[in-house]
Formats: sequence, C-alpha cells, structure tokens
Amino acid sequence: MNSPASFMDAPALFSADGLLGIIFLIMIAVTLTGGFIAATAERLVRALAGIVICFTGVAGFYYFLNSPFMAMMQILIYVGAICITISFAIMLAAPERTRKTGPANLLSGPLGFIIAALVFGGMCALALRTQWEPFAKSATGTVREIGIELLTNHSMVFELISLVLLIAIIGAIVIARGGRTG
Amino acid sequence: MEHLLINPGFPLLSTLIFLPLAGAFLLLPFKNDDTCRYISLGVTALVALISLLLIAGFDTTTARFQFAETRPWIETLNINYTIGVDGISLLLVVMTTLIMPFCVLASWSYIKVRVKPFMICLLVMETAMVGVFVALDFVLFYILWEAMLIPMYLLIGIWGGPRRIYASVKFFLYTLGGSILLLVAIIWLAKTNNFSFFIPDMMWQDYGFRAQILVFIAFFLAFAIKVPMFPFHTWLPAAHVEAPTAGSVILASILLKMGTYGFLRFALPIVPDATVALMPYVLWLSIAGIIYGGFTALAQQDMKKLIAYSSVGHMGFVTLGIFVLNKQGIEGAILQMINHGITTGALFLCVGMIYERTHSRELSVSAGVGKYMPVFVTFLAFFSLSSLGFPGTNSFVGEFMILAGTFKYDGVMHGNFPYLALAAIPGAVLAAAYMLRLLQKVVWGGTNNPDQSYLADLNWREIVTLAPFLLFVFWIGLGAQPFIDYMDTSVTVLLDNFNAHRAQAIALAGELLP
Amino acid sequence: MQDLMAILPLVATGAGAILLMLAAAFESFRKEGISIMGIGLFAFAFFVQLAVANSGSFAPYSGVLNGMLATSTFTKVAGLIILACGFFSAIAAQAYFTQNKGFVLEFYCLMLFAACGMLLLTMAAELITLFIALEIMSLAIYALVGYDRKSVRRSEAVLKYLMLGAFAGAFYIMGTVFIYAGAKSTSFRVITDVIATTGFLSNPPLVGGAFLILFAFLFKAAAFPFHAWVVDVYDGAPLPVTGFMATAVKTAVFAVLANFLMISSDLQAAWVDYLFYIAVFTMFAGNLIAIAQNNLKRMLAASGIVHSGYLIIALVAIQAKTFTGGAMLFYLAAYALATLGIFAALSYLAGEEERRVSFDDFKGLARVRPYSAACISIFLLSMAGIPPTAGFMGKFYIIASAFQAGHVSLAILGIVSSILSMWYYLRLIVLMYFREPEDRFEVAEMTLAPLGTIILAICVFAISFYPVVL
Repeated sequence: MNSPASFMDAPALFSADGLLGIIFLIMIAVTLTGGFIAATAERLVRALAGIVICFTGVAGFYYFLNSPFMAMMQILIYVGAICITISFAIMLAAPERTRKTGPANLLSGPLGFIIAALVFGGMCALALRTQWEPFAKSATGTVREIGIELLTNHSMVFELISLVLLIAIIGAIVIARGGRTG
Repeated sequence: MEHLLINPGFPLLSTLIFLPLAGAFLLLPFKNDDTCRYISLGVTALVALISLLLIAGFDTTTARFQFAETRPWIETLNINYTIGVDGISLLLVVMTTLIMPFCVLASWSYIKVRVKPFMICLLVMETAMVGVFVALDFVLFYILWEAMLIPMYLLIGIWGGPRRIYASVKFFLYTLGGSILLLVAIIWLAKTNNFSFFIPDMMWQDYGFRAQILVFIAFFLAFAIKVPMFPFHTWLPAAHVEAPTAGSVILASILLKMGTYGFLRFALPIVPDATVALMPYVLWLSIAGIIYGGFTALAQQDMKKLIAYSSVGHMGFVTLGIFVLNKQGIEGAILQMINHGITTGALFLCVGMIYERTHSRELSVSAGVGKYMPVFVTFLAFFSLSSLGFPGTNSFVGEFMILAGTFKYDGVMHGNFPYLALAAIPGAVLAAAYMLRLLQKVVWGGTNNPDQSYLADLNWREIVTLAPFLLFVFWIGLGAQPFIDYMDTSVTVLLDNFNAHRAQAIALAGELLP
Repeated sequence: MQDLMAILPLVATGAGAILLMLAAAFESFRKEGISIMGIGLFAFAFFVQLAVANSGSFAPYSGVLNGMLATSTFTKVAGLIILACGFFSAIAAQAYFTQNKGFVLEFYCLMLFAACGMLLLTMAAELITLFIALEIMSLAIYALVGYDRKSVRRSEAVLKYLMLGAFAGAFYIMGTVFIYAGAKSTSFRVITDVIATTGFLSNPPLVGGAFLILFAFLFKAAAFPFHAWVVDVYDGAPLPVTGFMATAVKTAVFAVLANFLMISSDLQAAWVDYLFYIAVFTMFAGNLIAIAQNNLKRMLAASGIVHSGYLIIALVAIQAKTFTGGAMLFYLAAYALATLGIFAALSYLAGEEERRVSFDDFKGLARVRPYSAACISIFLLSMAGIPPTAGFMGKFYIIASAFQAGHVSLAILGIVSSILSMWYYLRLIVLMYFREPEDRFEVAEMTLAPLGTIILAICVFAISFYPVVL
C-alpha cells in the first residue's frame, strides 16, 4: 500500500471490499447532502433535517474508522438528543420571518469563491500527492478502551470539557435571558 | 571607558536633566496661576545657575566627555544611561538652561489661560532638550529627541494662534516622519558594533562606503528637517507663526540647533566618508537656504514669519560652516548656533511683546511704534543689527568665521576662485535688507502710521527679560575668544580624527572615494 | 509539588469563577460585592501566577497527562499579562456596570473562565488540549460579546464572531487531523522529533496541517486577510469586553502562535516568507481602516489590527533556538497597558449606554477632566510608539529583533506604519486638547476605573524605564 491508490488497482465491485467501498461512498454522499441542505435551507426546520442527515453520515465514518461505539454515540447523542432539542427550541421560539440582508458586496462573492476554491484545490492536491500510510490498528474502539484513554492520557482534556459545558450553559442562560431581566 | 571623564562628586548633568522634570511634578498640586509662574521661574533659574557650574568646572584641554555619568539601564540590549558634555555640546547645554528662565518670564502675562499645563510643558521641554545635548547613548538620545515633540506639539496646539492645529500637526508629523530612518540607522549601527549603543563606540569605524551613504541619508533626513534646511523648511514658518512667544523662542533658539548639533555629533564622526562624498550637495543646499530664506524674509508682512524665514537663512550659514569641514568653519558654526539662539530668541521675544500690546504681528499695524516705545525699539535695533551680522555684535564674529572657513574650503576644492563664498555673501546682504526693512518700519513707519498712542513702553519685567540677551550680543561680539576656547579642543580633535580616518580610507580605497 | 504549582493559576481562575457563582447565591451579595470579588479574584490569580513564575520550566504532570502542558518563562509571563489584563478589565467593568445594565455575576464568571482558557492556551503542548483551551476561551468570549440580545449591534457582533470563530475552529480541527496523519501524534514534542527526522517540507500532511492551524490562529489574531471581522465585533461588544478581547485574547493567541512556530525551526522557516507579507499587509490594512473611522471604539479595533501586524513581525523574527519571547511579551505588555488604559478611561467617560464613543464626543475633554485627558494622551502616544512611553520601547525591541533576524525591510515598514498611525492617534489628542468642550462629562462617581487608569498610565512609563519583562 505504499504507492498511491488508483482506479486501476481498486477492488472488484462485488467483492466484500468493493461493497464496503460503495457503502463508504454512500456515507460521503449522505454527509455532503445533509450539509448542503443545512447550509442552504431557508426554513430552520429543513436546515435541522439536513443536520440530522449529515450527522448520520458522520456516524457512518466513525464506523469505518473502527469505532462502532463512537458511531453509536454519534447517533444517540447528536441525532437523537441534540437535534431533537434544537427542534424543540425552534418550535417554542416565535417565528421570525424577517429576512434582512445587507447589500451584497460585488467583490466578496467571487473573491470568497476563489479563495475557497484555492483552499479546496490545495487540500485536494495535498490528499493526492501524499503517500498515505495507514496506521497500525491501535485499538478496537470499545467502550473500555475509550474509557481508559479518557481517564489516563487525556484526563486533562476530559476534565476540561466539563468546563466547556459549564461555560456553554452560562452563556446560553445569559444570552437567552437577555431580553427579559436586567 | 576611554571616552568618558567621570568627575567625581555631584551628578551635575543628571541634576540638569531631572530638576525641571521634578519641577513639573512639583507644580501638579498647585492651583494658583501666580504660584505656578513663580515656581517655574525658580526652577528654571536654579537650573540655569547650576549649569554655570559646568562652565566653571569644564576642562578645556581635553576632548573627552566630561561630567560623564553612566549606569546600566536595559541590560539585555546593552542600553545604558550614559551622559556627558564636550566642547561641542557644552555651550548649547548652557544656552538652553540660560534661555529657559526668560521663556518663563516672556510667558508671564502672555499666557493667561491654563498656566499650569503651560509651565509643565516648558519644564518637560527643558528636560528633554538638555537630555538631547548630553546623551551619549543612542537610544537615550532618540528617546529624548522624539519625546521633545510632545510638549512642543502641545505648546503650539493649545496656546498657539488661529491656525494652531494645522501648524502643530504639521510640525509633529514632519519632524516625526524625519526621524523614521534615524531609528533604523541607530539599530543598524548598534548591530554592526556588537549591539553597543554607546555613541563614541560607533565613531570612526569602517562601515563600508555604501552603508555609510545610507546611514548618512537617514541622519540627513532627521537633522535637515530639524535645522531646517532648504527644501525641508516648510513646517518652520507655520510653527513659528502659530506658537506662543516662549514656544517660538524655544523653537528658534534651541530646537533648530539640535539638527546642526546632530550633524556635528553624528554625521561627521560616524559616517565621515559619506559626509565627504555628499558634502557638495549639502553645501549647495545651505547656500540655497541662505538665499531663499533671505528673499522670502524680504517679502513678509508678518513679523514672525519674517524672522522665521531669516532663521532658515541663518541656519543655512551654520550648515555651511559645518560642512566646509575646517576649523574656522566648524567653530564659526558652533558659535553661530549660539548667536542665532541669542539673537533670534530675543527677536521673537520682541515680537511677542508687541503682539501682547497690538494683538497683531502685521508689520503695518506695528509701524512707527518707535514714537511711543523708545526703550523697546532700542532693544529691537540692537537685535536687528546683530541678526544682520553688524560688526561688533555676536553674529558678525560667527558669520565671519564661517565665511573664512568657506574661503578656505574654496581654496582647497575650487582652485582659487571662491564659488561657494561668493554665493553665500548675497545672503549677508539680504539679511541687512530685510532686517533694516523691519527696523525701519517698526521704528519710524511711514506717513500713515496707525494710532499707537495707547501703547505702553516696556515694563521692568520685560526689560529684565531682554537685557541679558543684549549683554551676550556684545560680549560675544567684542570678546568671542573665551567662548571659542571652550570648543577649540573638541573641534580640533574631531577634525584630526576626521582627517586621519580620511587618509586611511583613501589609502585603502585609492581614488574610489571622492 | 511543582506540577501543582504550574496549574495553580488555572485552578485559581476556574475555581474562582465557581466560587463567585456560589457566593452570589446569597441574597445579600449584590452587584457591588460581586464586582469587588471579581476584581479580587483576578488579583489573587495574578499573584498566584507571580509566585509560580519563579518555578522554572517543565511539563507539569508529564507522567499522568502525557505531556499535554508545558511551561516556560514565556508562558508564565504571558499568563501574568493575561491575568493583569483580566484585573484591569474587571476594574473597567465595575465602572461600566455602575452606568450600564448587565449580568454582573455571569460577566465576571465568564471573564474568569475566559482567562482560565487563555492560561491553558499559553501552556498547551498538545493539539487536542489546545483545541479545548481555545473553545473554553472562545465560548466565554462569545457570551461576553453578545450578552445583550436586544441590541442589534451586539447581536451582529456576536453572530459574526461566532460564525467566523466556528470556521476557524473547524480549520483548526482539520489541521490537527492532518498533523496527526503526518506525525502520528498530536503532542508538540513528538511532532518536533518527527520533523527532525523526516523534514518538514517533505511531509505534505504536516505542511497542510500547519497551514490550517496557522490560518485558525491568524484569524483569532486578526491578521490580514482575516481581519475584517474585528471592527464590527469590537464595536459591538461592551467596552470592558472589547478591552479584554483586544489585550488578553491577543496575548493568548500570540503565545500559541509563538509556541506553535517554535515546534521546529523548519516549520517556522517554511512560513516566514508568508508571515512577512502578512505582517506588512496587516499593518497597512489596519492603518487604512483606522484612518477612516469616526468612532473611537472602531478606531481602537482597527489599530488593534495594526498592532497584530507588529506582533507578527516578532513572530517572523523568532529564532527557534534562542527564543525567549522577550520582545513579543514586552510589546504585548506595553500594548495591553495602553489599550486597557483607554478602555478603563472610556468605561467611565462613555457614560450611560455608551453615549460617548465617537471622536467628536471628546472635544475639549482636557478642559473638563485634565487628568483623564492626560492619561488618554499617554496611552495614545504609547500605542503610537512615541518615546519615552512603553509603546516605543516595545516597538524598539521588535524592530531590533527583526534586525537581528535580518529583516531590515520589515523593520523599516514597521516604522513607516507607526508614523501613519500617528494620524489617527493625534486626531483624538487634537480634539481633547485643542477644542473647546461642549459636554460636561458627568460620570458616575465611586468607581475604581479612574484609579485603574492612573495606575496604568504610570505603568506605561514604569515598564518603559524598567523593562522587567525582558
């Protein structure tokens, strides 16, 4: 696997590897489509649906990265909990249909596109030029391993995430309460 | 430290620097305007008296820096607080401290609002000005050089005339812009000298011709704007016209000298080869300044502008004297710096006194005040004569020495025909023309003089302000030798080193260098 | 014990914030008390950091935490600057809240949490820790910027900052992934070793990863071309928060940039050329924007861009082997003093609802409030780099370091830019001193901000003459 993969030495379509490959491609398509819907939808609920699709696709990636646990959690937490909470928020909030955008800057659109294209091109070039070496499979991605990792090597980060959550809660309260009391 | 002569005992120079600053802080709690005036006068007078100790203790037989002090300041970058005086800076320091009390006196009734901040600005100015002349560490020098701008900017901007904002901002940006490259040059020089910012360490080194030219250009921009030399002079009339009297006096007497002092202290010893190479251009710019200043002064209706443009001409003489690079020239130039400080400072004081009475600087408004203010016009007459270089007054000696130096330079460079000196002489004639025009107008005026019967002649405070200037006009005019003695050794050593360095450079580079 | 010492300031800020929340549960503990306690906690954390600053450099808990944090003199001094920024911002906030409504308690809590995140940022020696630290800081700052949902300007500010910040975060994650792909580790130490063996440019994932991570932090540092958000966000945020963002966030971000570039001299060498141009463009773009502003806050925001430019000069001049960060830290300290000073002064001068923020509002201030005007002038002159203020010394060190690294042209451009910047700094001084007042500048009494302003003004000179940071 030292030379870059090309279409010529790809596995046959109906072998096990080939089917997996197709599923992988489907996951990519699901993720991208979901992201696209979320970014372009005009109604919030549709955007939320896009996010759900996107997250599901991401869960697929985790599965391919040998982390079935993570994949499950992704679906459970992000799709199941977070997106549902967001949908509650959308339902409870007063609908505001005002769409006001400033006058579009003639330069910014094309300029942004060019820069984005350059970055994308750069990333593509990087991906194609590099001689990727697969890592040795270091773990099976079980709950146990993740737990051990989180409480040893990454215990600092693990602790700090609680701080992030605390700040997020305070921030949410502050911004949400903003209109009512002072 | 071979360059420093550390006199044991009292740190005189530090006292001169920090006493005015301490005075500024002393003023802070006081609310009464008169108290502030008296305290400032006391502090500046005390500083002036202390500076006389410098004169008394100065050793005229050595060219080393005397009364030197050095203590570490920023050790990581090898920046030290090093100060000292030699023959070149001594008279300038003493002139600065002596003029300051008279600036306070001149502002006594001229400044009516916000007296305390005004006095604080004056005192901070004094700290910075003395510091610039005695600093021997390039960073210290640069800091004080730039720090000086702020109080001057405030002096013009707060207490100035109608167009004060334009004038102050122009002054600030012009002089600040001029020093951009100076800082770069300083750091480059320090870097090439193992990060030593000690000024004497940088002198008489071999930097290479190209580097010298670049450093010279950086110096030239900073100093020529300060002097100001001919094409860089446009900030000066604006600043002079709008500044209050004390501001004009400080500007003319002291600030302008920093440019020429910079040339002497830095350009000659640090980049001698570039100095020689670019000398002709600087000389012709000086001539241009002399002639241009003269003609422009001739056309002015505003007395302050007239004197401001005359300054451009006089300072042209000073740069001329410096860059002919011989003993008469340089000694004449230093003496002329002092003379210009005395004479032009006094002239600005005179204009300020008239302005306080008529509230106008127009020549036509002041025409014929001689009838009602005889004492005043007597002073004005002497100072005008001094300004045009009348024999017996101080400027005559200075200009004579400079012209003698110029003839000598012509003898060396132009065979026997004195191009340069002949070009400079019309300047002296022009000076006579515009100063006599001023004098004639103010003393006698014409047939249609405005009514000036309400004018009161000078009061005692004003006479006390002007009299010492008159004393020096004649003292230097009739007995300049003692003054020259103070600078003689330093100038001689400077020129000896210069010639030695040149000889070495020519020996190394052959005919390459001009 | 050293391990504990190293993270003690972190604990002090984080636990302090929680303590503040608990204390505020008592009814009798109201606005004033919270302010004082917030200020006190910052002061306490500062002294803890000061005590820690003498304990040498090492990686705390390297046995347990796998070298996720590392301390050096550089990080400790950066931490000191951050906590001092927090202290003075808290003082400014106290004055601000006597004249404006707001969530006092949450405000101080979030400030403390943000400071905690910044301290972590300076110490982080591993990319995931770095990311969490970044998020702790950013989240707290988002909330601080946008706490007033009703205000359109504030909502605009927080939305812009949040969106762009999220993008920067995403780029950062992407960069981390690439670096992990290239070095098989996220630890700085391992990355250093990998670069030493394989080289930097011959390892494309590392190049791409470093590019994306620099991208993310240059965004936070408001460097060209990622500077456009700054003016609106700084303008929309409450005054003390703007001051805090402009100083503490900048300190933390530049500490990270320096730490990251120091991973390897190869890595730095590869980006120096680009950083060179970024520095130049940042300075001049900032100047152009600042010259066009009529609002003091927006002008200060734009001048913040210019100062980022100078700091990038310091980044360019980093020499990995001999790096002490002295020049950069000194500049950050000098800049922080001046900026905090102005914001402290503004926080009481601006009055209710930030009434006075445009240039014209400060006409004739020197006549009514001479000491405030003098202090503001000192701060402006320091920002402009006029001797003998700290700002000049900061510029001097940066230019000297650029010289040492052989970037003479950068040094010259830096000075040219500082002359340009005089234009808009002088404008305020002209208005304050040379015009007649039209306003009586009534402000709330009994605030600490004027005192803080004067202390800062004195510090501007003090650290200029005694540059202890170096």
